Amino acid sequence: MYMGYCNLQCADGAAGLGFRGVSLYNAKKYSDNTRGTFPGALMKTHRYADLDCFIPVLASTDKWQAISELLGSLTTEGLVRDPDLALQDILDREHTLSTGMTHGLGLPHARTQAVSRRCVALGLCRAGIEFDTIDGLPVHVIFLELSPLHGVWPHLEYLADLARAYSDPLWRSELESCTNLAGARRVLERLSS
Amino acid sequence: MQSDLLIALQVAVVIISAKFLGRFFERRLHQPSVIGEVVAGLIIGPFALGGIAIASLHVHIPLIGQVLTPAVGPLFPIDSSGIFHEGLLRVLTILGAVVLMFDAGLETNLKRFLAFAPAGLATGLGGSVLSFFLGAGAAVWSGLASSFRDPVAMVLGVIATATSVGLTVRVLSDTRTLNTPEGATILSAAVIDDVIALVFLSLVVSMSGDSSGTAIPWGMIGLRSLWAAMVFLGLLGIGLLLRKRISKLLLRLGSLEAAGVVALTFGLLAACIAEASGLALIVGAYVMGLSLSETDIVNVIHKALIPVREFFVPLLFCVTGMLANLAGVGSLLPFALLYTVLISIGKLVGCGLPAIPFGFNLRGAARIGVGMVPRQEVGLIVAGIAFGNGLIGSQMMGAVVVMILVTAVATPPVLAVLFKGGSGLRRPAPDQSTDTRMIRIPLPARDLALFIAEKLVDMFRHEGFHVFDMPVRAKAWDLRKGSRVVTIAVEENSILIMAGGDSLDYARLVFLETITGIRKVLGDFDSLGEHSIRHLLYPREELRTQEHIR
Repeated sequence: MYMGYCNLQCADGAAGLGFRGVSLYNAKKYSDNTRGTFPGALMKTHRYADLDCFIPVLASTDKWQAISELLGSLTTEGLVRDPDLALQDILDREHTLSTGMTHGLGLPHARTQAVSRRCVALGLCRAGIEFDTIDGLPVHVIFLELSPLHGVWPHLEYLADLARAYSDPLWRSELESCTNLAGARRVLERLSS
Repeated sequence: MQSDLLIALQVAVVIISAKFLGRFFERRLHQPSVIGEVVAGLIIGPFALGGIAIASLHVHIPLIGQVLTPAVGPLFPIDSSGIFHEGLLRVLTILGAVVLMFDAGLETNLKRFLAFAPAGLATGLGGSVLSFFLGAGAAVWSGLASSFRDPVAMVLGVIATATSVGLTVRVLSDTRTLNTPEGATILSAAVIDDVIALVFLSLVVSMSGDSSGTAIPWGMIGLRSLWAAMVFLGLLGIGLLLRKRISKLLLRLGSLEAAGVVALTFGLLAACIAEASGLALIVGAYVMGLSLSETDIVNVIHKALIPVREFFVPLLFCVTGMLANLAGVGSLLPFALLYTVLISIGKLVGCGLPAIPFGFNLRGAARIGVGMVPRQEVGLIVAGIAFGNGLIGSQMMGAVVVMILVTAVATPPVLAVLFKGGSGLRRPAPDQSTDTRMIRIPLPARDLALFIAEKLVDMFRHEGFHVFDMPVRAKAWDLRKGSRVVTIAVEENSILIMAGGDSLDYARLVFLETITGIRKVLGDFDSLGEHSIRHLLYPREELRTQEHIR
């Protein structure tokens, strides 16, 4: 029953109904990878230290550049198969509703065919970047998260947990003072305790 | 008749009659299906239709020989001393009892039990103890047992202990009173009831074959109860410690159906440990079910076990009904009625009185007491075990079945009338504030609410939640992942989201993303326009051809 349902899910998504902004062409291109992703991943939970890239000082001065810069870092690591598609999916999501939160946190994200596993990049910007946030303040911390379109991934759970943790000013300042990937992972890891 | 042929025919007849009568009782007579299944057993049993001799086919084909051996005999034969031997059916009923109790454990809501633990504990204990003594007393005062410590008296006491709240729950949910303090107290007390009955059951098991009427010393009864309680709690402790490992192991199978069935085998293993410790098999199965009820795959297991349950449980109750000799009850009828009245008083007073200190008035106490009166599943299983151990005969089984039928038929109307009055509390209920909070999202139309809710549930599924469609009239889903529990329901035009602590913020985010996804889809849809939809249906070439024809 459940297995049948899942196949339906994959078929539904791959048919390009566009629920998460996938064009029919791209869906076909990657549809081979979308089969049978269930139910091996029945109990997937995220780890806070799941951070793949870290940019201590973002060179960008606006929202779209910053997103491209973070995506570029993930691409350099070989995590993104199709950067153009990934960017398109992120921008589609961002145009529908901005992911700028409060206290200077930006959480751009997308479920996309362009990646084969969940990946996260973190970028910091002391000067602040306009991000169309809820409280109107510029963002200093941007997490970019990409998850595969199909299968089970704790995509939003990670973002929800990050947003909650970020409301703590002490933790926020620790995160903002990180200088390297290992340090950022350590600060994130502290959340799981 | 050949034994293989006989058992196949017996199982077929049992299942067919139990299922059809069970459904008939459930749909037409608004009684629990278990009652229909027991009645099916009475009808097809060895003391009624099943005792009539039937002729089997006798076919002789040249060269091949005899296809079926000639035999004339009843489908459910009784021996010369009037005792029905279930044979292989007994093995199937044992499995049925394990499946049922494992499932009962799974369905137990430990958290809800703990929320109402003080009132539940008091009412459960009061009702169990008083019913036990009144049940055993009925046997003593009718002259069927020499003392309270006589095995027959003990068995009747244990049968009187376990309430079946299935019927009560149905009445309460029909009258929308399940979430009242009375309803919650009944559900909580029923957990205690089951546990006490299972502990007492170990006494019955340990008296195997000892129907000589010799009284068991009180010291022995105390020691055995203590041992049974220790084994119960020990098994539960181990089960709760290992529950996460077990659920992880089950998920490795990669198939939810397989996970459910293998979970049941863990129930069987726990049942073996319980039996080896001198308790009944069903105690172990119940404890394993109870342990797994605190995992996020509880609903997955429950769903996967539906076919297994549908096969074994009707068989269990039908065969238990077959053990009863209703026609032979005759001389025991006064006892059966006395027993029914006394153990009903046992629950009414035993559960009602202890509820009063917990803020209930007399009306509330009466509601709780009456709600606890029906005895069904566990009582029948205990009676079956006692019968198997030779402690009670088919006439006494008949008396027990009379009690079960009377309480099942009499309780719902009384309960429905009792719940019509005002509050059952002496003062307004204290705020049962729990961690769980709710958000209500009003929408312009019910169809839209349903559409968004379905997409929302899908989104949670992609996040790794186990989804369970709740069998309620309104549309509702129970979503679980690790310790997170989220409930989504559609009520009229609104979507309700219930979650505890930080899960609610998470649920808010998932809702927001769902809406964002839908808006994107609607944007794509709008961009199609009426003109291009027509072109999708009739491609350009086809339109051109049509114009050409014209």
